Amino acid sequence: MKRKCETCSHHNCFINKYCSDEWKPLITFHKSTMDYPAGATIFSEGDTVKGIYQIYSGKIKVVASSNGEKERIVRLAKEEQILGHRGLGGKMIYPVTAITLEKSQVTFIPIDIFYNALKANSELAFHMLMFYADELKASEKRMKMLASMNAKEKIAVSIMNIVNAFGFDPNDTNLLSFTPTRKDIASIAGTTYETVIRVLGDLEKNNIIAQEGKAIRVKDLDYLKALCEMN
Amino acid sequence: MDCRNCSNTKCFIQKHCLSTWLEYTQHHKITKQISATKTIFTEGDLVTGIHVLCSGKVKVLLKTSKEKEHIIRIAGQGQVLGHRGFSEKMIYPISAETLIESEVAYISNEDFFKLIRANKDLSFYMMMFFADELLRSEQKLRVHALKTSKEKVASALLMVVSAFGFKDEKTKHIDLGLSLRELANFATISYPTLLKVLDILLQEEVIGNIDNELCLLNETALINISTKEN
Repeated sequence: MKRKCETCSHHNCFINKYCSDEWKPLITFHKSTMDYPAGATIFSEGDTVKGIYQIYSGKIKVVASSNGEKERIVRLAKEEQILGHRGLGGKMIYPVTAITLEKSQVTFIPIDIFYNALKANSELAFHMLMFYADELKASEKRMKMLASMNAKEKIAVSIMNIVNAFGFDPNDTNLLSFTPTRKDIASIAGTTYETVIRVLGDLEKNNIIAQEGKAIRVKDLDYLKALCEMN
Repeated sequence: MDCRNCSNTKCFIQKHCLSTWLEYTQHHKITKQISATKTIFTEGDLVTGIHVLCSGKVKVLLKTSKEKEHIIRIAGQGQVLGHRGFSEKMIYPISAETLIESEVAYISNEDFFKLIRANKDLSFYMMMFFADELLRSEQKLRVHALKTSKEKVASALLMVVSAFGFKDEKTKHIDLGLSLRELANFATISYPTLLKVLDILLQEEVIGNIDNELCLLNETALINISTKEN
């Protein structure tokens, strides 16, 4: 059954938040919703952009791979967020691949409907613009980080990225609500798997974090924040 | 320049705002004439508004370490300046410096947001502009490591042409604006390497040199060189 935008409870979704009540039924009419298992590809680098995606539930990593090089995670996204905005502009070809980290439900809005919605809802256009501005800044910050930070700082930034993207467990205030695999953490930090293991071990020894199996618990958030701001 | 009857057809404000709002902009903007090699804003400054380049040429600099500065963008007539400062913190991550004498219009955040909300074409344009900038910025990072110096020079030259255009459409004289050292910085190669590559391009008759100024002889060839590997 199709979920309706006009009665949706996701109040942080851009469509829900910034489109007029007249527009929501129109978007409901044109959108399509798909379910993906964990590890599924939503769109791939090189695909033509046909629309924009909105995450209804689940968690997703956005990956860039330069020819033959190891993959880099450029963004982590969760429910209520937009997906595939990097494809807009230029030649309308995705420069990145989106892969689910867990079971996810994703809504697709065709590009012409999205463009019309932007033109008809000035608040939507305004907030999309500010969203892009933030993404641009985050992206250039990441470039600086890859060039100038040491391994420990990179891992600290990556943990903070995960905190900012997915937050803490609601029932356990310093346990990450979702911990990506150690390999994925390496892709976020732009370092190797071995380095991630080593640095996480060091941080654990100094009582900054604790590793509980796959999950990571942050014990000293201020220390991590301070490490991030050294550059 | 007067927004109400501005002759600059490249200006995005002029292109995408309703005439009543152009009048509003004219009343609220602050225009400055800035001579060459002067700073317009500096990394770390608070973003209080947006700048529009009415005429002239500007380079945008990113400090990569204490001494090193990298030219990440060049902007020509009618382009927006300082958009990289727009985000939660509202602090410039970059500096902007004039290359030649330039006229810069300043529109406060408050007025600019009013403009964006009232002119849907402007907000749509700005969104697509940011989308392009994001794409370009990330592509530059990914592709650059793999590129040869020849490819780097070719894409830098194409960026100069798209920002500044030609001095003369007929002779295809490139309106360079940058010194050759700055061009080397922009292409992320050393100055001697740039000279070597320009020599090769001259021999291949992709570019020409008339009266010590570069002109574009074979645009298709230059595009082919720049996109060989991406």
